Order: sequence, then structure tokens, then C-alpha cells
Amino acid sequence: MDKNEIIEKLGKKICEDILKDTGRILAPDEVLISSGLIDSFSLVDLALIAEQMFGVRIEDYELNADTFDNLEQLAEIIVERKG
Amino acid sequence: MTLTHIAVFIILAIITRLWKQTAVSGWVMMIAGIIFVFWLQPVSSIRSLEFWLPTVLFGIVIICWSIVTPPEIIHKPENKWSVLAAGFVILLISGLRYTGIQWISKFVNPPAIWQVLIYGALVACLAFAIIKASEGRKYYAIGVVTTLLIIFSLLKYQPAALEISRIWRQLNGQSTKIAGAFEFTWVGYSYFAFRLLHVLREWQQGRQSMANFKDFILYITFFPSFTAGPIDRLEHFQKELATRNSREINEDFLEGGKRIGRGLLLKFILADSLAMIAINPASATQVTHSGWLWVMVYAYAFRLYFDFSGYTDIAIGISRLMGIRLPENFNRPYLAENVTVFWNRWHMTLTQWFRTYYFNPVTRFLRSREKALPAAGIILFTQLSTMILIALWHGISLNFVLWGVWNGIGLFIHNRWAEWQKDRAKQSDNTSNRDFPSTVRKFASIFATFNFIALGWIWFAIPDFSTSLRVFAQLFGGQ
Repeated sequence: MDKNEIIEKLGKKICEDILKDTGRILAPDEVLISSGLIDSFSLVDLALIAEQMFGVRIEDYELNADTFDNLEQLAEIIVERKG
Repeated sequence: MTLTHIAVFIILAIITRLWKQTAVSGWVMMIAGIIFVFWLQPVSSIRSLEFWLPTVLFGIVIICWSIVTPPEIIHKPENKWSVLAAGFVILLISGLRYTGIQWISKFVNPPAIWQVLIYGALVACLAFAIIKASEGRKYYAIGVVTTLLIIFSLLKYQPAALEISRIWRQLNGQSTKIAGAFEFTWVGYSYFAFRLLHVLREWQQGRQSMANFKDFILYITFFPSFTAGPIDRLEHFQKELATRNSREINEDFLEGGKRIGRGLLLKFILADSLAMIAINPASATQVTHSGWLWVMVYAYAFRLYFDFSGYTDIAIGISRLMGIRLPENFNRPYLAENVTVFWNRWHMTLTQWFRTYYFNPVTRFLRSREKALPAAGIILFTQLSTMILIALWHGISLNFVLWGVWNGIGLFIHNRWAEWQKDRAKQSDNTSNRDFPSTVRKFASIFATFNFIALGWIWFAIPDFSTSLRVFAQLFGGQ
């Protein structure tokens, strides 16, 4: 699975499950955490979504805007960990 | 930090930055940092306490470093020298007792040097045992984490602090009748404990620390942020330390100078002036006029913000003079449009710390259970308990717990409101209201959020429950 595919799948899932806005399309560089779009509770859900969909663990200390703040950065982490 | 501390820190920061050799300035920073930790500890009426508390801190630092550092880093020759240098500086400080220079030795009041030598030998034996026990390190880590949390509780719970003062006085052969809880004050404990817990918890989760001893001790005892934060992360601090001389010196001096100037203005002029009219336990019982009480509550809210963010500005500014950029701690919190945003902008490094080491793991655990609990129930529990823990960090007493509950419930209500708005927007398919809030709506949100937070500070400022209740009643026209 390449980065673009991960971005597409993650974006769709975030809109459905977290933002509850199926009509929305998240841009790969759209700011998620520091903009407040994803709150601290939903951030943990996002980590669990990444774990379920791609089998990659995002650690508790990585759940912040310094580690990733948009879909592209998160997809990069997932690609890197999937090896 | 007093103005004298700040002035000396600024001079040292400038010297270390002008020193072109990074290795030498690193040694200067480490040695000065050790001396400053002793200097920052207030003189206590319990004999030698002002010497032992920083000395115990350095023992804990050596033990933690031995736990989290892989052998290939530990055995580097430079680390042997920096551990010896740190020990030698502490011995020199304890040797002040024998110099007869009263005006210096009274600041640290060192005990007999044999006591320090025995303590040093015990720490060295423990560190060697940890280094040898590669698998057993995890038990030492659990021991240190537990010890740090126990000391936290003892320091924050006044009856326990009083009992410790009594015991310490008894050991010293001093009178126990005049023992007081505030005698047992450990300046900077919260912040260095947060840093140590951060390193230990992440090591427990499998993240190796690659810091050499000099970087590690500098990170834990970094003097600009030693007393009031911000709480940096080790890897970020190390990166800043390594690249501190790579940026334009004039820019760092200009930016650092600006931040220090702003901090001095906020802390020593605005905050200290507002302190005269800000609500406090005494004025809360004397003033009954509703209008004046509102002024006092607002004054307290701004005094607290100016005081704390002023200190942070000074810490960030002094650090910037050295070429090190510390994380921000405040981002115009009183302009937040809701309580959630407020807590993302107030004491940011502390809230991030609690999120990382409490909120995230607990939420993850509860959300991952096979028999999942309702999301609203988990949010209520995690937000409330996180805010109560942050409150207890300020002090283990009812008024702080109530302040935590006030904010925890505020966060929960806002979360439910935001969810309800999402559902409403989904049903009506009308997002214009959410994406483009009117100016009036924006100002009303800021006003409501500020007042919610300011009223919450009443619990924080007044230890007595009935006085707080009376202030609330009088603010809204009651008696």
C-alpha cells in the first residue's frame, strides 16, 4: 500500500468516524491537530484507527502536533513503520 | 527567581553564547547549572536542608541516567569525566563549610563532608548495580517512578510536609515544636520530576535515550526553566543544545532580549501591581460589594496569567540568548473561544505532559476494551480525572480538587456541545454557521470562556470552601 492510498483511506475514515461529515474531503496537508479539528480524545481514536487499518502502533507520546499534524505526515509514519 | 537570579543568568547566557567553542561552553553551562540549583533553593530553618535537597536531586539524576542510557553511551570516556566533574562541584560546595566564608556558605549551609562522601558512595554503588543489571533495570525504573510520585504527594500534602519537617528537625537535634509545612520546600521539584518521569516512562515504552551525562543533567536542571518550566522533551532539548551556535547570534540576542523585556514587564510590573487588587483569602472576606468582587476576580485572572507567562518569557528569553529555543507555554489563552481551546493554550507543556502520560494511555485502554464503554462516559472520566490530577499537582486540598472538577466539567460540556453541533450540521447539511462564525458570536464565545475560567480561579485562590461559596453568591447579587 503506497502513501497516497493510505492518505485516501485515512481521510475517508476520519471524515466518517471522527468528523462525522461524509461529504467532506480532507486535503493531505490540511492541519488536523493544532487547528483543533481533531481534539485530544479523537486523537487517541485516530491512533486506534491507524492500528486497526494498517497494523502500525502510534505511541502515546507521539500523539501531538510535533509528530504529525496532517494526513501526509501521518501516512509517512505509517509507511516507514510498515517497512 | 529574583531579579538578581535573572541578572546573573543573563550574564552567564551571554558568556556561554559568545564562547565560540561549543564543548567548553557546554562544560560551563553544566557546572554553572549545578551551582545555580543550590543557589535557587531558599535558605531553610531546617539545618542543611538547602544543601541536601539539590544533592539528592543530583543523585536521582545519576540513577535515572544509568537506567535509561544504553551501555555503549554510558561507557564513553567523556561521561566518566562529566560525572566526576559534577561530583567534584558538589564536594566543593560542601567544602564551603570549612572555608570560613560565611556570606557564601550560609546560602547552602553544608553538613559535615563525611556525610556527603557517604551519600556519594551510596549513589555510586547504586548506579553501578543498575548498569550491571541490564534486565533488572526495569525494576529500578519502577522504583524511581514510584519514589518520584511519593515525594510529589508528600510535598503537595501539607500535613505530610509538616511531619517530614518534624522528623528532619528531630534528626538534626532541632526543636520540633516550631516545625512548619513550608519549611520543607523543594524548589523546582515539580519540573525536574516531570522531566525525569518523561524520560523514564518513554524508556519503559521502549524508547532509548541517547543523551550523554552532560546533556542529560543540563536537560533536567536547565537553569532558565528550572523553577517554572516550560517542560521540554529530551530529544528536542538535545537537538537545540547541539545546534545552539548554528544560528545568527544577533537574531538570538534580539529575540531573547525582547522576550526577557516582555517577561520583566509582565511579571514585575503588571502582575505585581495587579496583586494589590487581586482576590485573596483575606480580601475575599472583607469585600462585599458585587462590583468590586468582579474587579478583584478579573484582576486575579490577569495577575496569574501575567505572572506565569512573564516567568515563561524570561526563561525562553534567557535560553534564546544561549541559542536554545524552549517550547512555548502560553498562546493568548484568554482569547480562546471555548474551554478546550483555553486548555490547549494555557501552560501548554504541562497539559501536553498530562495528555501524554495519563490521558492518552487511559483513553486508549478504555477505547480498546472488548466491551467498549460509551464514548461520552469515557470522555467524562478521562477529562475529569486529568483535570483533577493537574489540580492536585498544585496542592492536595479540597479547593484545588474543586478547581479541577470545575474545569473538567467545563471541558466535558464543551465536548458534548461540539458533538451536538456536528450532528446538527450533518442533519441540516448547513456548515456555513460553523465555518464562518459571526464576529458577535466570536466575541460572545471569548467573553463566556474567559468568565468561566476567571470564576474557576476563585476555587484556586481561596482555600476555604465556605468563603468561596460566599464570593460566588455575592458576585451574583446574593449575600
